Amino acid sequence: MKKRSFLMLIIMVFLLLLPSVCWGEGKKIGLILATGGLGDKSFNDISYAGAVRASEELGVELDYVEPQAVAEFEGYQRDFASSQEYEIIVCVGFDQADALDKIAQEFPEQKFALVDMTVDQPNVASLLFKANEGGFLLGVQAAYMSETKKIGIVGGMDIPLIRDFFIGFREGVKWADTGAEVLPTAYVGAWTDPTKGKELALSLIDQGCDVIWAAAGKSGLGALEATKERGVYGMGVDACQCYLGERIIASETKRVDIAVYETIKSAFEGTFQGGILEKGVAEGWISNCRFPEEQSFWEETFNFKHQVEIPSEVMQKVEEAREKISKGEIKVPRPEEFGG
Amino acid sequence: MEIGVLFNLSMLQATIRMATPLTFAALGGMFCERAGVVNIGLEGIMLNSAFWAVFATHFSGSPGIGLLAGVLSGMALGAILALLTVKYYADQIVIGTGINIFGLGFSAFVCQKIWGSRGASGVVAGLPPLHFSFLDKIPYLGPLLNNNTILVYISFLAFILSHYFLFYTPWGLRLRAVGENPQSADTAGIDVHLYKMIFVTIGSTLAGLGGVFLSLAHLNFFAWGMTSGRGFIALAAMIFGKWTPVGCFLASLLFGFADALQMRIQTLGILPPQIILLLPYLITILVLTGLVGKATPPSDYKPYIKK
Repeated sequence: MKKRSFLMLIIMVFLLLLPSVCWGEGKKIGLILATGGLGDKSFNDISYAGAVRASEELGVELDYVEPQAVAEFEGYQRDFASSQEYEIIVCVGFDQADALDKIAQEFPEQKFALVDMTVDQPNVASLLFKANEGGFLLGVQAAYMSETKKIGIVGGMDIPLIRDFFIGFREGVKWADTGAEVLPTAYVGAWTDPTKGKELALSLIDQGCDVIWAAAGKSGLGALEATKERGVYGMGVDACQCYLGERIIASETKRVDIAVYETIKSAFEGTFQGGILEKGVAEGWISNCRFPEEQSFWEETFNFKHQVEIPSEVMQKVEEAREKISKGEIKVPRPEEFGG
Repeated sequence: MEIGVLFNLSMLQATIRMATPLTFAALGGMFCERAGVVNIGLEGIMLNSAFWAVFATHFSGSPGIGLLAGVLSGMALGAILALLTVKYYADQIVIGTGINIFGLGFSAFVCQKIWGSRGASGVVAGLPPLHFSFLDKIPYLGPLLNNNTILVYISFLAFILSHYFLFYTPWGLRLRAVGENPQSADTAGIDVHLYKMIFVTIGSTLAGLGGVFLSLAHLNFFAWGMTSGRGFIALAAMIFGKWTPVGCFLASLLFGFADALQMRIQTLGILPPQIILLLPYLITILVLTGLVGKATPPSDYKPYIKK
């Protein structure tokens, strides 16, 4: 009895391994998503969209995994790398960095890309976004849309990645010069506490803010809920979050899909280079969901319509800011950690 | 002017909202511990109830059904905890930790299946705020107490009833006896195991109400891990409250107050946010070390094995 089940086991393992042996030819794309998983209508979905686009245009296969916890990253990275089946392995999210630093050294021949964080290894392309520039554009919109001339911002945690958004935002509000002020940043202290996010936004609204920008992960959903409840304007981040409510007027968009697509393409075309790739508004990696070309993209992707019209004078100002940033006429400051 | 920003009606309202889930969980934990079972699984019980409340509302369209589902979920997990720890003498910490891990994993799994994302659910109909016109006539207290959801009023009721039950009824006396000295309680003819099981279940149900408050009253969606440690803070509130209903309620209010205060100090920009975010925890430590004196638990939490 025991012998037979052992035999079965061997046959099953063999059957499982069979496809990987047969499909050995032609390298594939590997994608390791961040812990939020697909369906987040944000980072993961957008990265996935970029990888799908690359896989369709290049005619190569795409394999992706959705790790549940930070501890799983290293295992998946090693599995992908040791299989030698992947031309490039794309890792999404800053918390994959520690694991990748190790794995990239173990497999120096394997090409990696890391979204949103730096790993200083020659075979890793670190894809960084000048989030401060997108914050600037959003700040211009906020300054014009606020009637009370008071704007509130809710952050997840006080880390450079988040400060980068807000430094740019404050600068944008200043540049618009409408007399609007931004209150000191309110930090939730957690990414998954929408209850506190909502309370923070309520306290800002009670202090007279009528535009609230939340960059706080799931906690930010609570903050946007507060803007809905009180009927003030909300603003989103990463992907277009305006589908969450009628009065969520604009979002800074990190076009991870473009970054991922371009990097995968470069890997298959042989132009891949390790090191830091940092791009912003000029290259379209950072944008705003209310630009005409972006607006239709997001409305199709998430199947909704923006409800509040942003006056064309305001959009002209935002457009002007975009041009000036692209040409380098406006230098948007950054946190010290990002060389600001 | 700055004092006016800090201490005003909106801040006190926020205090109540932040305190309500803690009150439920602290009272729940208290009942469990009074019955001689440490309920470290409060966090998981809250999270599960928060999830089931949104789940049931999503499919029924009625937040009332959602509330019921949240209550049943708390009851079910409480019954499992009670059965395993009381009847089968399983380790309370192990089972409680198991419940916490189960809560995180299970909610993510079902969330993914239904809403296609393990991070957050879709938006559902929340419990509406209630308006009592007689409260309008009372200055200060009226606007503070008015326009809350039903769960806030239930939490007030729960702590008053718990106090009465625990100290002024024969069943309360028996419950205390079961926790403090099960041997004597047994000798006096009390069914120790039955009492333990009933009150561990009741306690967990109360904690579940705290979870429902988060997902269905304060917000109207479920987010993964949205309890954010409130189950553990409730345990601290319970110890600070010395295992009494009034104590639990006041301690929860204090923690809620510290949180509401912290949020408003941040927007003044007078201190670095890291220091301000410490405030609730700092108050916890100060209170536990200095003010509360010796905390004597109401039980030794050993499983009662009938001789």
